[in-house]
Amino acid sequence: MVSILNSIDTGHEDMVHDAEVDYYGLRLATCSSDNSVKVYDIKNGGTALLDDLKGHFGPVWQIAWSHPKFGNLLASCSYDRKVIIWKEQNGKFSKYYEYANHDSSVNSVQFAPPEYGLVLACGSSDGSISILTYIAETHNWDAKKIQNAHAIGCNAVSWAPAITPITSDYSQGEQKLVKRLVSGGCDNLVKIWREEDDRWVEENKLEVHSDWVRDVAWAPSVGLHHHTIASCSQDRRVIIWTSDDGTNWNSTVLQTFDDVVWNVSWSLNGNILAVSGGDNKITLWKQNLQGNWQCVSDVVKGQGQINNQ
Amino acid sequence: MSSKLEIQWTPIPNKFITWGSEICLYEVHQDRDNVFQSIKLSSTTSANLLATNTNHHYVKCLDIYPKSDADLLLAVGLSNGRISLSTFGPTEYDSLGLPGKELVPRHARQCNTVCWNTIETSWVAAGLDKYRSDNSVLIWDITKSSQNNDNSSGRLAVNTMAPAVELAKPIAEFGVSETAHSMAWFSSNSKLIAVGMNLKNIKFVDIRDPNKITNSTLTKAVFGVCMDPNDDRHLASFFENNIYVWDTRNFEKPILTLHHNKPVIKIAWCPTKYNLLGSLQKESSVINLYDIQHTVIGNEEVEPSVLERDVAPGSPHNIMSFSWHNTDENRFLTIALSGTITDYTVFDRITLNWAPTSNVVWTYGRKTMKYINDYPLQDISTKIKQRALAGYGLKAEIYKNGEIVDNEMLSNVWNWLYLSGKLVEDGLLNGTQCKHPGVQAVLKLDPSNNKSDHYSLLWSDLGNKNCQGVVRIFKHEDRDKALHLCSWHFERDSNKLTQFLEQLEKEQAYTRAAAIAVFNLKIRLAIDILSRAPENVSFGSSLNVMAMALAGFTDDKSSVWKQFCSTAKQKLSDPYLKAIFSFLTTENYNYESVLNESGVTVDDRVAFACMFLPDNRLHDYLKRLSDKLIEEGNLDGLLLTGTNQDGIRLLQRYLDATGDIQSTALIAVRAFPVEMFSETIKEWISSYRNLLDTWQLWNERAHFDIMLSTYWPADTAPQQVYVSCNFCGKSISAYMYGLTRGRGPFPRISGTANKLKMSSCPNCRKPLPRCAICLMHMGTTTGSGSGGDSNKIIEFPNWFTWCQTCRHGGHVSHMTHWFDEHSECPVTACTCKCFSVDSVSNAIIK
Repeated sequence: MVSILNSIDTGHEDMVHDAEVDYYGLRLATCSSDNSVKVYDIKNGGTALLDDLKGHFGPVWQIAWSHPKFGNLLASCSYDRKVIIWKEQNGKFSKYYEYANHDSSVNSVQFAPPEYGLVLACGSSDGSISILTYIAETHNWDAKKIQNAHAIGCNAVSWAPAITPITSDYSQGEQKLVKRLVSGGCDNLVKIWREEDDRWVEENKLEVHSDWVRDVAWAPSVGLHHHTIASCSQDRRVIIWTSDDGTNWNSTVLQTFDDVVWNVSWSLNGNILAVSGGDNKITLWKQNLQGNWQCVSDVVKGQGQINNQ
Repeated sequence: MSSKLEIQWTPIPNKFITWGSEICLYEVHQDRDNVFQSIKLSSTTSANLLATNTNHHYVKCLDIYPKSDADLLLAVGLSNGRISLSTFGPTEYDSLGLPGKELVPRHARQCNTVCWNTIETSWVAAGLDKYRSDNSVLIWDITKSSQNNDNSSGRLAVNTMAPAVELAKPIAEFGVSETAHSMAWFSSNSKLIAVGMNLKNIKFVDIRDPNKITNSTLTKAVFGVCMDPNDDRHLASFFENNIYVWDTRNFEKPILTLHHNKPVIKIAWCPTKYNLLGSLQKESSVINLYDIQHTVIGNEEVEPSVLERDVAPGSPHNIMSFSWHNTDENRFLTIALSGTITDYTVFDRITLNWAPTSNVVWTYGRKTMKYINDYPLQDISTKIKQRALAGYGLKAEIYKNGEIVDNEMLSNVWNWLYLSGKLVEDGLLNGTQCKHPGVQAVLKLDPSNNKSDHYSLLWSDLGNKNCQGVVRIFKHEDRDKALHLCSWHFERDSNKLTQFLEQLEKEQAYTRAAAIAVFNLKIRLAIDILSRAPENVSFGSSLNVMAMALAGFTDDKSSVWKQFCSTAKQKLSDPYLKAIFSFLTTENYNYESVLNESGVTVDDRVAFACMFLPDNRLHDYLKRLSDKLIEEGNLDGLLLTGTNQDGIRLLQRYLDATGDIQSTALIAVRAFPVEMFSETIKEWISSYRNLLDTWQLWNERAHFDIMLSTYWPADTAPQQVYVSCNFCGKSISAYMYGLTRGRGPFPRISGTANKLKMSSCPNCRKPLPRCAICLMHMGTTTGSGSGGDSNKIIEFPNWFTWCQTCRHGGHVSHMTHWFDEHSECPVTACTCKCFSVDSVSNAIIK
């Protein structure tokens, strides 16, 4: 049985677009069409509003928490073409950095795995992806931009977990981490990008979806040596991409749903995939031992009904 | 359009009305089984007809009194221009004399629109067709007009058709010789009304000065004028195939034009969502939704962008009208030409994210978010968490870790690690440096060189009178070691075998005990074991039968027993019984069916192979088996590989298959030699640490680190806390550290000062900080810490601690007591709320 534990009235004046819990599960941030970002203290099951962040002048689409070793940073991106990084001090958040170098709505932000340092990727409707890197020496943010990453617009970005490349010889010394990220866009493509000597190059172009890609999620890894990406699209399909070496990818269609699929998200260990769709359902998927994906439960959101399968 | 059919939610959340030839009131409820005659609206809602009002035959337009909390008051605009106030049955308005009252224009003509003011709720406006020099927009105050007519009470109400009717006087009127097509009150200014007139302009009129037009624009789009309920700046109207959105501050031209293929018949702003406009086209089955995004870049407002979405509420073709619900998010009703009513909610995008506590968070429209608990999914992460809390992997006796898990494979691994470790310690496996050598390593097989001796034993010598044949077994000291690893250490000592079998019998593993007895050529013993099996055990009685069958053992190839067993063994379900009969009926020493019996545990199979296979076949078999187990990620394979590179590969496969980073990391740390701590193992360790961090299992993480440092000294965390003097800033801890090593500035005293305590800075001689409670200086010897053992660290309550914010502090026990009852710092005049700023204590202490 899957049960609904809690439901929070966020007090937002318009539609909530994203809700993210921080690394320790102590705080919840929400963002909304009412241009605000709200942060709640949710430890011990409570919900107390900590702060209401105003700084955007358009709907705020997505938010992302940084790893706690960089302090409590929260990034938000908005229709107003800006990305704002907020920093917490004594329970209050203030603007720490603002990035306004996109020509259209910024749809997605995500912090890189902490192994790469403090790095943020942003995907925008202007088709480009920005990678912001914090330079500790100068206290500045260095911005690199992938121009024309997706024609008409980039809808989602997701970082690859920091995995050292697999080698046959385990005794080899230190290996350099390769930064990778995946993006999905309005050109129906899922693209994989790799950093190569200060530049970002397109490593792979995955072409299966037949309509806008709405969300992509690179599965977190706990020591596993294969990569998994989930992507979902306006074409009502969720596709699972797998690769053993990070360069050759195979696709499996998880399922064709009844309606647009909005969102995919991996659990902490990358074992369970949650999918939300326009049919107003949330479904959880798990890979069985034979390698097939099974729906383990679905939740009809409107009524809070739960069906187990 | 022959007949008009409209639908509208009322201010009462669960009621709506429909009107055409008659006005009907419905009540919506969630589906119940026992309700009859209800109209199905959606999969979960139905409606019941509460009342109908058939008093009006030529209804042109209608609006509901906005303050209708319990009873509804309708303003009905009729084709003769009259506005009739109407109710369903007796209501609270009866005493006010409102129901039945009519507001009558001077000259009869069609009423196009009627509209209540949402702020001055007693005001109702009517828009009429043109009539010579009469005004077309009339605004009445229903309370005032009734007061005016107090003396002639009843006249208006009783017979409205009588010529002697005294006309109620409007509080405002305008629009001489004009036609009013549609109108809307401003939502924030009760005095302003927007009216679409004469098919050529929209005017804003302040009713305090109705002759002056506040603002106007030239447009044919005079129909369906409606004001964004959340923002007065935005107004929408339509004409034929186009919808126009206006900015009321900058009214010359529309900010947005939305074109349709068919004529538009209705538009409405969604009251629960900003900037969402719904529209309906003629003869259409969908509602078009426009999400209009206004943006300000710098100080300039750029052209809004529109996200278009069509929703088909599922009712058949020809939707006639729709109505947004006032409070329920994104909910609307539609009515089709056939009269079918549909209740529909537009589903917005749901975003969802996993929280580290293995909950999912998702958004729902504007206000709610829910988590669900995935505990019942039995994900490996929940198990990992439970095991971590139970101290899994940290137990000093390695086999106890196996007792914590409910997984047989894992507990076998821990047991085997214990066993192999012990064997190495006892020196039984001399010749390997490894802590946990695998069978392959101890056998040191060379397929080209058969080093094992082989013995042939006559079955008849072993007490089987019916047999003539021989059984061939192989022996070598390396094979003995391997058998030890498989816990078959009974070669020299038959007592051990008996003990082992008795143990198995206690565990009710009768068939396994019998099989092991048979493999050790003690058929008599096996028969005893099987016949001893109590009947209440599953297939206990058939075990006795098996004992009988076994008793007939003969290796005569043509015997009935052998023929029967060869065929009957296929029907056996128990793998050990199968193995027994396969072994006894085998020919030419071909033991494949025993060796490949996957129901027999790996150690039994390996031990069996070590006894009965010659070197070259044994080598091949072990190679094949270990490859298979590695491929499967079966941890039993550790028995074969031991803790070498193959073992790491095996663990990786296990991890890939199960995601159990915890067991993987723990086994790697506890069993693998530190020289082999490659990147892979380090990654496992850091992944597991990260996981514990995320769950805030600080204590478990600390215990893991402590355990880790005993196995992997190179990873000991660097010193993180330094104590320096408040006055000179020099490090005290460095001094003390040097002191105990005998290399400090005072080497003379270091020899005797293993219990040295300082209460002043060794550099500037200023005193060290004091405990705020007991006022003792840090470093003062405390009573309880005077044990004889110099290496023993004093107990935690006597440690010094301090607030990271105000830097005041003292002994842990004193501080804990103080903050049990106080929230402020114990130092006088310091108002720091030390305890509440300590986020870690907040997180842990409930």
